[in-house]
Amino acid sequence: MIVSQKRFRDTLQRIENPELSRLISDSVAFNSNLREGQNIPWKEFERLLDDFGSKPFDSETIIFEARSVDELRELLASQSAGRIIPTRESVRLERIVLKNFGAYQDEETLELSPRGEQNVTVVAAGNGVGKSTLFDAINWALFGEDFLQEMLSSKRKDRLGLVNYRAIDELKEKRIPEVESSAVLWFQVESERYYVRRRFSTTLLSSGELSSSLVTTSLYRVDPGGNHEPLDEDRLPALLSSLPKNVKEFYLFDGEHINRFASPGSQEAVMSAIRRILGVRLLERAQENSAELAKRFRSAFNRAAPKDAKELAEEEEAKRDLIKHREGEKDRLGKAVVELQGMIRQLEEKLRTAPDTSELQKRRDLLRQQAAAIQERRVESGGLLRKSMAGAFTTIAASAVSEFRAGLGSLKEKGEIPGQISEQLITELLEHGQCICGRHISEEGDVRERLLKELDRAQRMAPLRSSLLDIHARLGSVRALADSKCREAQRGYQGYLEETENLADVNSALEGISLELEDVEEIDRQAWERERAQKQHDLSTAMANVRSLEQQLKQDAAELKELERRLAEVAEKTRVAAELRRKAAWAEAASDALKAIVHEFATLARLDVERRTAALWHRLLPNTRQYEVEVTDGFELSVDSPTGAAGLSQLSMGQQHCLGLAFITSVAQASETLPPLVIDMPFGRLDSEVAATVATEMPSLTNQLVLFVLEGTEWNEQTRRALEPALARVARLRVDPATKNTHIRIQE
Amino acid sequence: MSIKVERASVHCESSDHELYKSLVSGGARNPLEVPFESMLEAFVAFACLGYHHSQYIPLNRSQEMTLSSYVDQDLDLFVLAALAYARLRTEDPDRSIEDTVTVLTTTKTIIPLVEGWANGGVQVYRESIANGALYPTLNLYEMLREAQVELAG
Repeated sequence: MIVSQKRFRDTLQRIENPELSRLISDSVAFNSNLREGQNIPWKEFERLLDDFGSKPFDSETIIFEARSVDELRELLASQSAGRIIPTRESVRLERIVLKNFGAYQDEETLELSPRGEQNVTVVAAGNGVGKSTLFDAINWALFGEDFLQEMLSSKRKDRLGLVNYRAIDELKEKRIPEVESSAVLWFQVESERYYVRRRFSTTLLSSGELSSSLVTTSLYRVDPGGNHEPLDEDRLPALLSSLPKNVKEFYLFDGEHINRFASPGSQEAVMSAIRRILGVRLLERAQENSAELAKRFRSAFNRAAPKDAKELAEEEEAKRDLIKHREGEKDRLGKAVVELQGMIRQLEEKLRTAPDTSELQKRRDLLRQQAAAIQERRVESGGLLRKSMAGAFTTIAASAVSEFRAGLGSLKEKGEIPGQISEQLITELLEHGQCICGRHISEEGDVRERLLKELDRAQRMAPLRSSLLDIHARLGSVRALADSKCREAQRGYQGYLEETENLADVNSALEGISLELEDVEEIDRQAWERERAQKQHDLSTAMANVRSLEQQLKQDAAELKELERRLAEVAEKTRVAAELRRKAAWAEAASDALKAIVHEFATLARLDVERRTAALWHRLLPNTRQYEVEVTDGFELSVDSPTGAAGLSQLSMGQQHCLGLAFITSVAQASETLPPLVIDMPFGRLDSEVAATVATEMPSLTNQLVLFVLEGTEWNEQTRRALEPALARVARLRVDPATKNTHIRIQE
Repeated sequence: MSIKVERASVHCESSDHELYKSLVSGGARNPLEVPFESMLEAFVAFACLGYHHSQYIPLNRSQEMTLSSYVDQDLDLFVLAALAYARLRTEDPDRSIEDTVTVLTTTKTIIPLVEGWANGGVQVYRESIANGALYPTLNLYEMLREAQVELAG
């Protein structure tokens, strides 16, 4: 892991929740195994949370806050300045072995490992002899195809361009069947020895053209007994975790370019360097992944969380209430059934044991009915009497009727009624002009005048006389009508009397029965029987209701069971959802804590790099003390001149070179990994005095230093003297004039 | 048409009006308690009773009790005419029969002549029921029976 172990541990200790602290630590470790751009294997990442997801999580236990910059400065000051904290994962380069690679045909070996305190290997040669080939070979061995393609692209070569030209000649001359080019790098990680071999073959095609195979890579571990154990080549990046590809240029760099870190406009590179080398980026990725994981768990929670739990619970509660109510009703009805059965038994017992007065009661009822009927007939008789009463009274006016009729009869006998005879007679007399006695009736005589008057009177009285005649006739039937009315009245009266007598008889009989009934207790069996029938009806109804309730309760029980099953499902979903929720909470907490850690960690690292860079730069170039070095919050490397102006642009190339060197070594020191520094042309831009100073300081900057220097210019008496105390060996590259191949000659 | 039934008021003594009302049911009440179905029936019965007992008492303070239009035209109308005839003949025995009967062809002349008989009958009834304890209907029928017995005797 590239993060500063100590700082990281210090930070984690401030998280009071030990589980969360462990989760963050595991999360960072997990992310450290991921290569840049590699997709997150979520299942693996989620597994990290499985240990925590099932535990209760109290968010209140996360009390971690990034400290202020001032506090961080104090924290930094409290640490021993410049103290190198060895890491367990540092890489040590042992040797590189080349064959048929560039200028090297025969197997050439360059030892690199420190010898005790002497940790510097110098490779000195003139231009074009093979320093850069060695430098490239080390990079190829470490970073494989990615580096190779990048390097070939920058140098506009193909892979064949790497093959030793003399070996090619031999291939073309068919003295050998193929040429195998290889670079083998031996290295140590935590005292374990490994080597990685990269190789490819070149053959001559029948067409006369050359063809190279794909590069094969082999990784071996060498145990203390000297046995070589093949390993999966995929393990190499993990072994070289302190030298990931994306930071190689900070440790294995071309000295010609060292100053670019200290050049104006290099902020992005500086920021990137610090973030990647110091592990800030790793922490950021851990934070981002934790946040993403929390989001995924929240999403899973939303999918898994049951929506209808409350409704189901309410439904279940309502169902239980209903069942309770129905059971209560059933109990009540059950009691009512028992009570009714008891009452029916009592009634039946009473009916069984009571004296039977039913016959008497029947007779009494019959007599009462008879009495009512008689009374009704008596009233009818009274009605008949009343209807004919007035008519019957007319019988006692019979004499008046007779006299009246007699009077009218006398008039009739005299012909005065209807009176038509006298009228006819007078008319005839007047027509004949002669009376019945023979007397002539003169036209103007008194007789005629009297007859005319009489005729006029008779004609006027004719209607009245007609009426009187009719009255006379009608009076003849009055008596008969009156008698008829009288008979009706008599029938009514007689009927009344008879029915009155009958009523008296019936009432007498009723009185006798009543007296008989008074002798026994008044028992209304019919009422009892009616009551028993009513009770039996009630009993049937109650029992039917009980059966109905039992049926409903049975159905309720089935529905309740179904509800319980659904609730169990919901509970299971709830449990799963709760677990997801807890995992989300853990991931969120880890994300939040990591965010704070990232901030603090980055700030601490930035300040550390800033402090170390300034100290080293000023030590290498005392005349730069007037400049203040700052790595800003935005990870920008800046140099302020005494006048306060931005100073980067005012620096000389040498100053920039030293600043870059100081920065790189400071980053290495701040990262606490202390990887080997492999620098091509470290003093190329420095004057001899400065180069000597740098050479003096450099061995103490890291545990292993490999310098590729230009014979004479860089590698001279001054630099040799400066490096001598730390010098493990000097390798000189010599060209065989005959073969033009380069050979490595070691001076130890 | 023999006797014209014209719209004419039938009067009673105002003090007897309540009695008339108590004896007329309208058909609903117990027939033993109310002996007549209409005021005019009661009027006819009392007129006959007054005639039988020769009690003709002219009205002192008359009160209209009904209208003659409701009279039974088969029996009661002619009995009333006969009673009117009897009154006229009693009042003026010398009056010719022809003159007497000519005024008896309408209820307008008949009814006023009979009111005195009915008033007399009411008084007879009042005296009779003073000791009666039976139903009014039975009392009246008993009075009718007595009258018939008298006539038969």
